[in-house]
Amino acid sequence: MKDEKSLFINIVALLILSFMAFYIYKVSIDTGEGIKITDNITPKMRVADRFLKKNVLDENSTYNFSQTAEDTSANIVTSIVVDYRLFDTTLEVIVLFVTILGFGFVIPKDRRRILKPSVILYRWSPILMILMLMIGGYMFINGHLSPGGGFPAGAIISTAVLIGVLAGRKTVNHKTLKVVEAIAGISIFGIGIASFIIKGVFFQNFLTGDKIGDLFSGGLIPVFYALIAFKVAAELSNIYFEFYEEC
Amino acid sequence: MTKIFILSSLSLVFVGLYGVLTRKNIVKILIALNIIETGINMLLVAFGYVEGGITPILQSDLSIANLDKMVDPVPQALVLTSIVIGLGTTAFALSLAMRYKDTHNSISIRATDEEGVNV
Amino acid sequence: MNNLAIFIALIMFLGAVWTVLTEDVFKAIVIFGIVSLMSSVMFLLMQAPDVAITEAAIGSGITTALFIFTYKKMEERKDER
Repeated sequence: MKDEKSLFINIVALLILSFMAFYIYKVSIDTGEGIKITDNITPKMRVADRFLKKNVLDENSTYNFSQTAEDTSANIVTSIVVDYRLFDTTLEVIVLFVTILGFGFVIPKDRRRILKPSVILYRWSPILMILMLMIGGYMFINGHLSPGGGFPAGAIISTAVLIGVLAGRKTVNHKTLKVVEAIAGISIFGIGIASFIIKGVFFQNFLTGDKIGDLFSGGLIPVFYALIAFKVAAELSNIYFEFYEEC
Repeated sequence: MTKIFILSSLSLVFVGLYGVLTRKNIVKILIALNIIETGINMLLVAFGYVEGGITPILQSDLSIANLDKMVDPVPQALVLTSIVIGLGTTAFALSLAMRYKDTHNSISIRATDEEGVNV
Repeated sequence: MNNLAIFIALIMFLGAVWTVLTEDVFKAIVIFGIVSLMSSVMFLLMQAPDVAITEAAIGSGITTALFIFTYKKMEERKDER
C-alpha cells in the first residue's frame, strides 16, 4: 500500500516537473514578439552593454580608458565586483559571517575525536600548506589582471588550515582567527570612510593607476581583495575547527 | 550553444526539484538543494552568453577593439558572490541536520512512523 | 566545442539523476562532487573563467568536504545509541 502510494506520488511529481521544464525552456528560448528573457544575437539589447562601453553616465560621456578609477582593472568582472557593486560584496561577506556564527551555535558540541594521522601526511603537510598559501596569495594579488579573486583565494588559504587540522599539527587557534577576521572586517569599512574623506564618495577608488595590465594598476582593488580573502579564510577555517578540534 | 547551456541547466534544476519533493533522507534533500543551486547559477550565466563571445578580460588591443563581442559580465559577478553564500547556507543547514539527528535519533523527515532510514 | 558541451551536459544530467535515485548517501555525495566539477567546465565553456575557478574551489571542493564531514559525524554517532 505504501509503495503504491509513493510510486503514484513520484509519477505525478515527474509529470508536473517535466511540464514546468518544457514551459520554462519554451519561454527562455522564444524570440518572437513581447518581452524577451534572452537576446543573445543582438548585443545592443543587453543590460550591461553600457558597462562594457565604459559610459555609465550618458551617451556623450568623456570617460576613456585608464583615466577613471573604474576601468583600471583589466578583468571587467573584478571591476564590477570590487568597484561598481562593492556594497553588495561587503554585505555578502557579512551574510557569510552571520551564517557561520549560527553554525557555531547550532552544531551539537559533544566529544570531538581526532583520528591519528599517518606519518606521510604528518611529514608532508608543511610543504602542502606552503604551496596552498602561495597559490592563494597569487590569486588575490593578481585578481585584477587574471581570473581568480578574493573568494577562491580565501577558500584555498582555508584549505591550508584544513590540511593542518587533518594532520594534527598546531597551526592557528580560535583567538588568532577572531583577531584576523575582525581586523579585516574593520579595515574594509575604514578604507571606505577614508575614501569618503578624500574623494567624497563612499568606497571610491582613490589610488588611480596608470596603465591597464600592470601589476600595480588596480589601485585599491588588490587591497580590498586581500582583506576579503583573509576574512573568508578565517570564517571557513572556523567550520573545520568546529568539526575536528579537541576541547 | 545557448540552447545546450539553457537545456542542461534547466535539467539540473528540475532533477533537483524532483529529489527535494520525493526523498525522505535529510542529507539527500540537502544534496538535491545544492544541485538546484548549481543549475540556477548556470542558468544565470547562460542568459548572458553571446554566440561566439570572448571572455570579459582586456588582454590586448584585439580584445579592446572587440568590446561588443564580450559576454555579459554582470551575471558572472552576481554568481561569484552567490556561490559563496550557498556554501554558508549549506553549512548552516548541515548543522541543523546534525542537531535533528541528535534529538530524534533518525534522519528521516518522517521520524515518527518509520525508524530505519540508512545514514 | 559543440560536441564537448553536449558530452559534459550528458554527464551532468546522468550524474544528477544517479545522485537523486541512489540509496547510498556516500555515493550520492561523491557523485554530486563530480556534477559540480563538470559544471565548472561548463562555466569555462560559457567564457566565465572567474566563476569556473570559484566553483571548482568552493562548490566542488569545500562543499563536498563539508558533506563528508557531516556523514562521518552522523555515522560514528550511530553506534552509541
